[in-house]
Amino acid sequence: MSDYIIPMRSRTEAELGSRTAKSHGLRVSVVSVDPSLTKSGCSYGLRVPSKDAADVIRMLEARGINHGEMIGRAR
Amino acid sequence: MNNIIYLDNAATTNPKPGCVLRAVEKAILHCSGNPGRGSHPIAARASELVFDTRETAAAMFGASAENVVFTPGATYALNYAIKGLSKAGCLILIDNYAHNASYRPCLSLAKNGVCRLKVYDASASDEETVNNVRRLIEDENTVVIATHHSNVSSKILPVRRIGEVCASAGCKFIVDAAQSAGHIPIDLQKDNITALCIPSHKGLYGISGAGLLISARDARYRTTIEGGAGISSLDEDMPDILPERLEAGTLPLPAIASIKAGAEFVSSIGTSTISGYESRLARRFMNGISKKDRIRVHGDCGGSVISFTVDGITPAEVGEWLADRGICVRTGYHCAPLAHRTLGTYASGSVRIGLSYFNTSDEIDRTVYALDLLCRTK
Repeated sequence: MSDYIIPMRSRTEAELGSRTAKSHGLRVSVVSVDPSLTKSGCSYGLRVPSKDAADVIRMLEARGINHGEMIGRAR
Repeated sequence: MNNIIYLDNAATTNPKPGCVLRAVEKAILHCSGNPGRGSHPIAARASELVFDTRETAAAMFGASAENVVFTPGATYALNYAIKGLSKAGCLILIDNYAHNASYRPCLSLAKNGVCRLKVYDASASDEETVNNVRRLIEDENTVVIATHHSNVSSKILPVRRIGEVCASAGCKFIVDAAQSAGHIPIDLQKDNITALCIPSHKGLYGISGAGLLISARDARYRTTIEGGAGISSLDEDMPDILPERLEAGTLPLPAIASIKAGAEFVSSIGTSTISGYESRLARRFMNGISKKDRIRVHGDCGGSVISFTVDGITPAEVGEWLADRGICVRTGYHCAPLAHRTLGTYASGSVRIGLSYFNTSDEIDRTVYALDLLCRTK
Protein backbone atom coordinates (compact mmCIF):
# COMPACT_ATOMS: atom_id res chain seq x y z
CA MET A 1 0.00 0.00 0.00
CA SER A 2 1.42 3.40 -0.88
CA ASP A 3 0.41 7.05 -0.80
CA TYR A 4 0.90 9.73 -3.36
CA ILE A 5 1.78 13.31 -2.74
CA ILE A 6 0.18 15.86 -5.02
CA PRO A 7 2.27 19.04 -4.78
CA MET A 8 0.26 22.25 -4.54
CA ARG A 9 1.35 25.81 -5.21
CA SER A 10 0.59 27.05 -1.70
CA ARG A 11 -0.74 26.11 1.69
CA THR A 12 -3.97 27.90 0.79
CA GLU A 13 -4.44 25.92 -2.40
CA ALA A 14 -3.57 22.76 -0.49
CA GLU A 15 -6.35 23.55 2.00
CA LEU A 16 -8.71 24.27 -0.87
CA GLY A 17 -7.80 20.99 -2.54
CA SER A 18 -8.11 19.08 0.70
CA ARG A 19 -11.59 20.42 1.36
CA THR A 20 -12.68 19.77 -2.20
CA ALA A 21 -11.59 16.13 -1.90
CA LYS A 22 -13.04 15.69 1.57
CA SER A 23 -16.38 17.07 0.44
CA HIS A 24 -16.50 14.09 -1.91
CA GLY A 25 -15.69 11.66 0.87
CA LEU A 26 -12.04 11.18 -0.09
CA ARG A 27 -9.37 10.88 2.58
CA VAL A 28 -6.59 13.40 2.02
CA SER A 29 -4.33 15.38 4.29
CA VAL A 30 -2.20 18.48 3.83
CA VAL A 31 1.50 17.75 4.29
CA SER A 32 4.80 19.52 3.83
CA VAL A 33 6.58 18.44 0.67
CA ASP A 34 10.24 17.51 1.00
CA PRO A 35 12.08 20.63 -0.24
CA SER A 36 14.50 18.41 -2.15
CA LEU A 37 11.60 17.57 -4.46
CA THR A 38 10.86 21.15 -5.34
CA LYS A 39 12.95 23.78 -7.06
CA SER A 40 11.95 26.61 -4.81
CA GLY A 41 12.01 25.36 -1.24
CA CYS A 42 9.14 24.88 1.18
CA SER A 43 5.85 23.79 -0.26
CA TYR A 44 2.73 21.85 0.58
CA GLY A 45 0.89 19.01 -0.98
CA LEU A 46 -1.96 16.59 -0.53
CA ARG A 47 -1.23 13.10 0.73
CA VAL A 48 -3.64 10.75 -0.97
CA PRO A 49 -4.02 6.95 -0.80
CA SER A 50 -2.94 5.56 -4.15
CA LYS A 51 -6.40 4.19 -4.89
CA ASP A 52 -7.93 7.67 -4.64
CA ALA A 53 -5.18 9.62 -6.37
CA ALA A 54 -6.78 9.70 -9.81
CA ASP A 55 -10.12 10.82 -8.37
CA VAL A 56 -8.50 13.59 -6.39
CA ILE A 57 -6.61 14.83 -9.44
CA ARG A 58 -9.84 14.82 -11.45
CA MET A 59 -11.58 16.79 -8.73
CA LEU A 60 -8.82 19.38 -8.49
CA GLU A 61 -8.85 19.89 -12.21
CA ALA A 62 -12.62 20.14 -12.32
CA ARG A 63 -12.42 22.94 -9.73
CA GLY A 64 -9.57 24.62 -11.62
CA ILE A 65 -7.12 24.13 -8.74
CA ASN A 66 -3.51 24.03 -9.89
CA HIS A 67 -1.34 21.10 -8.85
CA GLY A 68 2.03 19.57 -9.63
CA GLU A 69 3.07 16.12 -10.79
CA MET A 70 2.19 13.31 -8.37
CA ILE A 71 5.02 11.92 -6.30
CA GLY A 72 4.92 8.28 -5.16
CA ARG A 73 5.66 7.61 -1.50
CA ALA A 74 5.81 4.36 0.45
CA ARG A 75 3.64 4.47 3.54
CA MET B 1 -18.46 49.55 32.78
CA ASN B 2 -22.24 49.45 33.23
CA ASN B 3 -22.52 53.21 33.23
CA ILE B 4 -20.47 53.63 30.09
CA ILE B 5 -22.29 54.52 26.91
CA TYR B 6 -20.04 53.63 24.04
CA LEU B 7 -20.78 55.62 20.88
CA ASP B 8 -17.37 55.40 19.23
CA ASN B 9 -18.16 52.33 17.18
CA ALA B 10 -17.01 53.94 13.94
CA ALA B 11 -13.51 53.74 15.41
CA THR B 12 -13.83 50.29 17.00
CA THR B 13 -16.97 48.42 17.88
CA ASN B 14 -17.44 47.71 21.56
CA PRO B 15 -18.59 45.45 23.07
CA LYS B 16 -17.81 42.39 20.99
CA PRO B 17 -20.29 39.54 20.72
CA GLY B 18 -19.67 36.63 23.09
CA CYS B 19 -18.96 34.33 20.14
CA VAL B 20 -16.01 36.55 19.19
CA LEU B 21 -14.52 36.42 22.67
CA ARG B 22 -14.88 32.64 22.74
CA ALA B 23 -13.35 32.26 19.28
CA VAL B 24 -10.31 34.32 20.27
CA GLU B 25 -9.83 32.30 23.45
CA LYS B 26 -10.18 29.04 21.54
CA ALA B 27 -7.67 30.16 18.92
CA ILE B 28 -5.13 31.02 21.60
CA LEU B 29 -5.74 27.84 23.58
CA HIS B 30 -5.94 25.31 20.79
CA CYS B 31 -4.52 26.75 17.59
CA SER B 32 -1.48 28.74 18.63
CA GLY B 33 0.78 27.32 15.98
CA ASN B 34 2.01 29.27 13.00
CA PRO B 35 -0.46 28.99 10.13
CA GLY B 36 1.13 28.06 6.83
CA ARG B 37 4.42 27.17 8.49
CA GLY B 38 4.74 23.42 8.81
CA SER B 39 2.22 20.62 8.94
CA HIS B 40 2.40 19.40 12.54
CA PRO B 41 -0.99 19.21 14.26
CA ILE B 42 -0.97 22.63 15.90
CA ALA B 43 0.24 24.44 12.77
CA ALA B 44 -2.33 22.46 10.78
CA ARG B 45 -5.14 23.54 13.11
CA ALA B 46 -4.01 27.14 12.75
CA SER B 47 -3.92 26.81 8.95
CA GLU B 48 -7.37 25.28 8.91
CA LEU B 49 -8.77 28.11 11.01
CA VAL B 50 -7.18 30.64 8.64
CA PHE B 51 -8.68 28.90 5.63
CA ASP B 52 -12.09 28.62 7.33
CA THR B 53 -11.99 32.38 7.83
CA ARG B 54 -11.03 32.96 4.20
CA GLU B 55 -14.08 30.91 3.19
CA THR B 56 -16.38 32.78 5.56
CA ALA B 57 -15.19 36.17 4.27
CA ALA B 58 -15.33 35.01 0.66
CA ALA B 59 -18.93 33.86 1.08
CA MET B 60 -19.91 37.12 2.77
CA PHE B 61 -18.39 39.36 0.10
CA GLY B 62 -18.86 37.35 -3.09
CA ALA B 63 -15.26 36.28 -3.63
CA SER B 64 -13.08 33.18 -3.72
CA ALA B 65 -11.29 32.00 -0.57
CA GLU B 66 -7.87 32.12 -2.20
CA ASN B 67 -8.38 35.80 -3.01
CA VAL B 68 -8.93 36.73 0.62
CA VAL B 69 -5.71 38.24 2.00
CA PHE B 70 -5.23 38.96 5.69
CA THR B 71 -3.54 42.25 6.47
CA PRO B 72 -2.74 44.03 9.74
CA GLY B 73 -5.82 46.21 9.19
CA ALA B 74 -7.82 48.14 6.62
CA THR B 75 -5.15 50.84 6.35
CA TYR B 76 -2.61 48.21 5.29
CA ALA B 77 -5.12 46.67 2.92
CA LEU B 78 -5.65 50.06 1.28
CA ASN B 79 -1.91 50.65 1.06
CA TYR B 80 -1.36 47.23 -0.51
CA ALA B 81 -4.16 47.85 -2.98
CA ILE B 82 -3.34 51.44 -3.93
CA LYS B 83 0.43 50.95 -4.18
CA GLY B 84 0.20 47.46 -5.58
CA LEU B 85 -2.30 48.13 -8.35
CA SER B 86 -1.34 51.62 -9.54
CA LYS B 87 0.92 51.68 -12.58
CA ALA B 88 3.59 54.35 -12.97
CA GLY B 89 2.12 57.47 -14.51
CA CYS B 90 -1.48 56.43 -13.94
CA LEU B 91 -4.27 58.65 -12.73
CA ILE B 92 -5.84 57.88 -9.36
CA LEU B 93 -9.31 59.20 -8.63
CA ILE B 94 -10.41 59.48 -5.03
CA ASP B 95 -13.63 60.80 -3.55
CA ASN B 96 -14.03 63.87 -1.38
CA TYR B 97 -14.93 61.83 1.72
CA ALA B 98 -11.75 59.76 1.76
CA HIS B 99 -10.09 58.80 5.01
CA ASN B 100 -6.34 59.31 5.34
CA ALA B 101 -5.98 55.53 5.09
CA SER B 102 -6.65 55.88 1.37
CA TYR B 103 -5.85 59.55 0.82
CA ARG B 104 -2.31 59.52 2.20
CA PRO B 105 -1.07 56.55 0.16
CA CYS B 106 -2.39 58.37 -2.92
CA LEU B 107 -0.72 61.62 -1.87
CA SER B 108 2.51 59.74 -1.30
CA LEU B 109 2.43 58.27 -4.81
CA ALA B 110 1.55 61.66 -6.29
CA LYS B 111 4.23 63.56 -4.35
CA ASN B 112 6.84 61.02 -5.44
CA GLY B 113 5.83 61.47 -9.06
CA VAL B 114 4.60 57.89 -9.41
CA CYS B 115 0.98 58.73 -10.16
CA ARG B 116 -1.31 61.68 -10.61
CA LEU B 117 -4.19 62.28 -8.23
CA LYS B 118 -7.58 63.93 -8.69
CA VAL B 119 -10.40 64.22 -6.19
CA TYR B 120 -13.93 63.65 -7.48
CA ASP B 121 -17.05 64.97 -5.78
CA ALA B 122 -19.43 62.53 -4.19
CA SER B 123 -22.47 64.72 -4.70
CA ALA B 124 -25.89 64.66 -3.15
CA SER B 125 -27.06 62.97 -6.33
CA ASP B 126 -25.71 59.50 -7.08
CA GLU B 127 -26.15 60.19 -10.76
CA GLU B 128 -23.90 63.22 -10.50
CA THR B 129 -21.32 61.26 -8.49
CA VAL B 130 -21.18 58.56 -11.13
CA ASN B 131 -20.88 61.16 -13.87
CA ASN B 132 -18.08 62.86 -11.98
CA VAL B 133 -16.14 59.59 -11.98
CA ARG B 134 -16.96 58.83 -15.60
CA ARG B 135 -15.82 62.26 -16.72
CA LEU B 136 -12.42 61.94 -15.07
CA ILE B 137 -11.45 58.40 -16.10
CA GLU B 138 -8.66 58.62 -18.69
CA ASP B 139 -8.06 55.02 -19.72
CA GLU B 140 -7.78 51.46 -18.40
CA ASN B 141 -4.82 52.45 -16.21
CA THR B 142 -6.94 54.83 -14.15
CA VAL B 143 -7.50 53.63 -10.59
CA VAL B 144 -10.75 54.66 -8.95
CA ILE B 145 -11.11 54.65 -5.17
CA ALA B 146 -14.43 54.95 -3.37
CA THR B 147 -15.10 55.43 0.31
CA HIS B 148 -18.19 53.25 0.49
CA HIS B 149 -19.47 54.84 3.72
CA SER B 150 -17.90 57.99 5.12
CA ASN B 151 -16.43 57.82 8.61
CA VAL B 152 -17.53 61.40 9.29
CA SER B 153 -21.16 61.29 8.19
CA SER B 154 -23.52 58.63 6.90
CA LYS B 155 -22.72 59.51 3.29
CA ILE B 156 -22.81 56.37 1.18
CA LEU B 157 -21.28 56.28 -2.27
CA PRO B 158 -23.05 54.41 -5.11
CA VAL B 159 -20.42 51.70 -5.27
CA ARG B 160 -22.30 49.41 -7.62
CA ARG B 161 -22.81 52.16 -10.16
CA ILE B 162 -19.23 53.39 -9.91
CA GLY B 163 -18.12 49.78 -10.32
CA GLU B 164 -20.12 49.54 -13.54
CA VAL B 165 -18.37 52.63 -14.88
CA CYS B 166 -14.97 51.21 -13.93
CA ALA B 167 -15.76 47.85 -15.49
CA SER B 168 -16.84 49.39 -18.77
CA ALA B 169 -13.66 51.51 -18.85
CA GLY B 170 -11.54 48.49 -17.89
CA CYS B 171 -9.99 50.29 -14.95
CA LYS B 172 -9.34 49.15 -11.40
CA PHE B 173 -11.75 49.88 -8.61
CA ILE B 174 -10.66 49.96 -4.96
CA VAL B 175 -13.31 50.22 -2.25
CA ASP B 176 -12.66 51.37 1.29
CA ALA B 177 -15.29 49.42 3.19
CA ALA B 178 -14.02 50.33 6.64
CA GLN B 179 -17.40 51.72 7.67
CA SER B 180 -19.67 49.77 5.36
CA ALA B 181 -18.63 46.14 5.87
CA GLY B 182 -21.17 44.57 8.18
CA HIS B 183 -23.62 47.40 7.58
CA ILE B 184 -24.21 47.36 3.83
CA PRO B 185 -24.22 44.28 1.60
CA ILE B 186 -21.14 44.16 -0.64
CA ASP B 187 -20.55 41.73 -3.48
CA LEU B 188 -17.14 41.87 -5.09
CA GLN B 189 -18.34 40.45 -8.39
CA LYS B 190 -21.65 42.25 -8.72
CA ASP B 191 -20.05 45.52 -7.65
CA ASN B 192 -17.12 45.03 -10.06
CA ILE B 193 -14.63 45.67 -7.28
CA THR B 194 -10.96 44.94 -7.91
CA ALA B 195 -9.88 45.30 -4.28
CA LEU B 196 -12.09 45.50 -1.21
CA CYS B 197 -10.51 46.71 2.04
CA ILE B 198 -12.08 45.84 5.38
CA PRO B 199 -11.02 46.04 9.02
CA SER B 200 -11.70 43.32 11.55
CA HIS B 201 -12.57 45.55 14.45
CA LYS B 202 -15.44 47.69 13.18
CA GLY B 203 -18.61 46.37 11.55
CA LEU B 204 -17.42 42.77 11.56
CA TYR B 205 -17.12 42.95 15.37
CA GLY B 206 -13.70 41.30 15.40
CA ILE B 207 -10.75 42.42 17.47
CA SER B 208 -8.14 44.86 16.26
CA GLY B 209 -4.96 43.69 14.55
CA ALA B 210 -6.30 42.30 11.31
CA GLY B 211 -7.99 43.35 8.13
CA LEU B 212 -9.03 41.91 4.82
CA LEU B 213 -7.98 42.68 1.29
CA ILE B 214 -10.38 40.79 -0.93
CA SER B 215 -9.54 40.79 -4.60
CA ALA B 216 -11.02 40.02 -7.96
CA ARG B 217 -9.57 36.95 -9.67
CA ASP B 218 -7.59 38.99 -12.17
CA ALA B 219 -6.02 41.42 -9.67
CA ARG B 220 -2.21 41.45 -9.95
CA TYR B 221 -0.31 43.23 -7.22
CA ARG B 222 3.16 44.57 -6.83
CA THR B 223 4.19 43.79 -3.29
CA THR B 224 4.48 46.47 -0.65
CA ILE B 225 5.91 44.23 2.10
CA GLU B 226 8.22 41.30 1.50
CA GLY B 227 9.23 38.48 3.81
CA GLY B 228 8.60 34.87 4.65
CA ALA B 229 5.49 33.42 3.07
CA GLY B 230 5.78 29.80 4.14
CA ILE B 231 6.24 28.64 0.55
CA SER B 232 8.85 29.04 -2.19
CA SER B 233 11.47 29.88 0.43
CA LEU B 234 14.38 29.65 -1.98
CA ASP B 235 12.95 32.16 -4.44
CA GLU B 236 14.16 35.73 -4.20
CA ASP B 237 10.72 37.12 -4.90
CA MET B 238 7.43 36.74 -3.09
CA PRO B 239 5.19 33.97 -4.47
CA ASP B 240 3.18 35.17 -7.45
CA ILE B 241 -0.13 33.79 -6.20
CA LEU B 242 -2.63 35.13 -3.74
CA PRO B 243 -3.01 35.17 -0.84
CA GLU B 244 0.61 34.30 -0.01
CA ARG B 245 2.01 37.03 -2.26
CA LEU B 246 0.67 39.69 0.09
CA GLU B 247 0.97 37.83 3.40
CA ALA B 248 4.60 38.23 4.41
CA GLY B 249 5.24 37.25 8.02
CA THR B 250 3.17 35.52 10.65
CA LEU B 251 -0.58 36.03 10.50
CA PRO B 252 -2.45 37.36 13.57
CA LEU B 253 -4.37 34.19 14.34
CA PRO B 254 -6.55 35.40 17.26
CA ALA B 255 -7.68 38.40 15.22
CA ILE B 256 -8.37 36.17 12.24
CA ALA B 257 -10.44 33.86 14.44
CA SER B 258 -12.37 36.92 15.57
CA ILE B 259 -13.12 37.88 11.97
CA LYS B 260 -14.71 34.50 11.35
CA ALA B 261 -16.82 34.62 14.50
CA GLY B 262 -17.74 38.26 13.93
CA ALA B 263 -18.67 37.74 10.31
CA GLU B 264 -20.83 34.78 11.28
CA PHE B 265 -22.47 36.90 13.97
CA VAL B 266 -23.24 39.62 11.42
CA SER B 267 -24.51 37.10 8.88
CA SER B 268 -26.75 35.45 11.45
CA ILE B 269 -28.47 38.78 12.13
CA GLY B 270 -28.22 40.19 8.61
CA THR B 271 -26.62 43.42 7.49
CA SER B 272 -29.99 44.95 6.62
CA THR B 273 -31.34 44.19 10.11
CA ILE B 274 -28.23 45.71 11.66
CA SER B 275 -28.30 48.84 9.52
CA GLY B 276 -32.07 49.17 10.00
CA TYR B 277 -31.65 49.06 13.76
CA GLU B 278 -28.83 51.60 13.68
CA SER B 279 -30.90 53.88 11.46
CA ARG B 280 -33.73 53.79 13.99
CA LEU B 281 -31.28 54.79 16.72
CA ALA B 282 -29.94 57.56 14.47
CA ARG B 283 -33.46 58.89 13.90
CA ARG B 284 -34.11 58.80 17.62
CA PHE B 285 -30.98 60.86 18.20
CA MET B 286 -31.90 63.31 15.46
CA ASN B 287 -35.41 63.72 16.86
CA GLY B 288 -33.94 64.22 20.31
CA ILE B 289 -31.66 67.05 19.29
CA SER B 290 -33.98 68.59 16.69
CA LYS B 291 -35.16 71.39 18.99
CA LYS B 292 -31.70 72.27 20.23
CA ASP B 293 -30.79 75.25 18.10
CA ARG B 294 -27.13 75.21 19.06
CA ILE B 295 -26.54 71.70 17.74
CA ARG B 296 -25.73 71.50 14.04
CA VAL B 297 -25.57 68.17 12.26
CA HIS B 298 -23.19 67.97 9.31
CA GLY B 299 -23.83 65.85 6.26
CA ASP B 300 -25.94 62.71 5.98
CA CYS B 301 -27.18 61.39 9.28
CA GLY B 302 -29.48 58.47 8.54
CA GLY B 303 -27.00 55.68 9.20
CA SER B 304 -24.49 54.57 11.76
CA VAL B 305 -22.36 57.75 11.75
CA ILE B 306 -23.53 61.22 12.80
CA SER B 307 -21.31 64.29 13.03
CA PHE B 308 -22.35 67.43 14.81
CA THR B 309 -21.04 70.57 16.42
CA VAL B 310 -22.43 72.72 19.21
CA ASP B 311 -22.35 76.48 18.63
CA GLY B 312 -19.98 78.24 20.99
CA ILE B 313 -18.40 75.05 22.33
CA THR B 314 -15.48 73.26 20.70
CA PRO B 315 -15.87 69.60 19.74
CA ALA B 316 -13.15 68.75 22.25
CA GLU B 317 -15.13 70.42 25.04
CA VAL B 318 -18.28 68.60 24.00
CA GLY B 319 -16.39 65.31 24.01
CA GLU B 320 -14.97 66.04 27.43
CA TRP B 321 -18.40 66.94 28.80
CA LEU B 322 -19.82 63.70 27.51
CA ALA B 323 -16.82 61.66 28.67
CA ASP B 324 -17.29 63.09 32.18
CA ARG B 325 -20.75 61.51 32.06
CA GLY B 326 -19.48 58.19 30.78
CA ILE B 327 -20.44 58.79 27.16
CA CYS B 328 -17.73 57.88 24.66
CA VAL B 329 -17.71 59.80 21.39
CA ARG B 330 -14.98 60.82 18.99
CA THR B 331 -14.00 64.44 18.46
CA GLY B 332 -11.72 66.16 15.97
CA TYR B 333 -11.11 65.35 12.33
CA HIS B 334 -11.50 61.58 12.39
CA CYS B 335 -8.47 61.32 10.05
CA ALA B 336 -10.61 62.57 7.19
CA PRO B 337 -9.62 66.11 6.15
CA LEU B 338 -11.29 65.83 2.75
CA ALA B 339 -14.61 64.96 4.37
CA HIS B 340 -14.38 67.96 6.66
CA ARG B 341 -13.64 70.23 3.71
CA THR B 342 -16.69 68.76 1.99
CA LEU B 343 -18.93 69.21 5.03
CA GLY B 344 -17.68 72.68 5.95
CA THR B 345 -16.20 71.62 9.29
CA TYR B 346 -12.55 71.98 8.32
CA ALA B 347 -12.02 74.79 10.83
CA SER B 348 -13.18 72.89 13.88
CA GLY B 349 -13.70 69.21 13.16
CA SER B 350 -16.77 67.67 14.72
CA VAL B 351 -18.20 65.43 17.40
CA ARG B 352 -18.90 62.01 15.96
CA ILE B 353 -21.34 59.40 17.12
CA GLY B 354 -20.79 55.91 15.73
CA LEU B 355 -23.58 53.42 16.39
CA SER B 356 -23.51 49.66 16.67
CA TYR B 357 -26.02 46.84 17.01
CA PHE B 358 -25.33 46.82 20.75
CA ASN B 359 -26.42 50.41 21.40
CA THR B 360 -29.86 50.95 22.89
CA SER B 361 -32.60 53.57 22.74
CA ASP B 362 -31.97 54.34 26.38
CA GLU B 363 -28.33 55.14 25.62
CA ILE B 364 -29.41 57.50 22.86
CA ASP B 365 -31.89 59.22 25.21
CA ARG B 366 -29.25 59.63 27.89
CA THR B 367 -26.84 61.11 25.35
CA VAL B 368 -29.48 63.54 24.13
CA TYR B 369 -30.17 64.48 27.74
CA ALA B 370 -26.46 65.11 28.38
CA LEU B 371 -26.26 67.32 25.29
CA ASP B 372 -29.38 69.18 26.36
CA LEU B 373 -27.78 69.79 29.74
CA LEU B 374 -24.61 70.99 28.03
CA CYS B 375 -26.51 73.47 25.87
CA ARG B 376 -28.38 74.81 28.89
CA THR B 377 -25.30 75.00 31.14
CA LYS B 378 -22.52 76.38 28.95
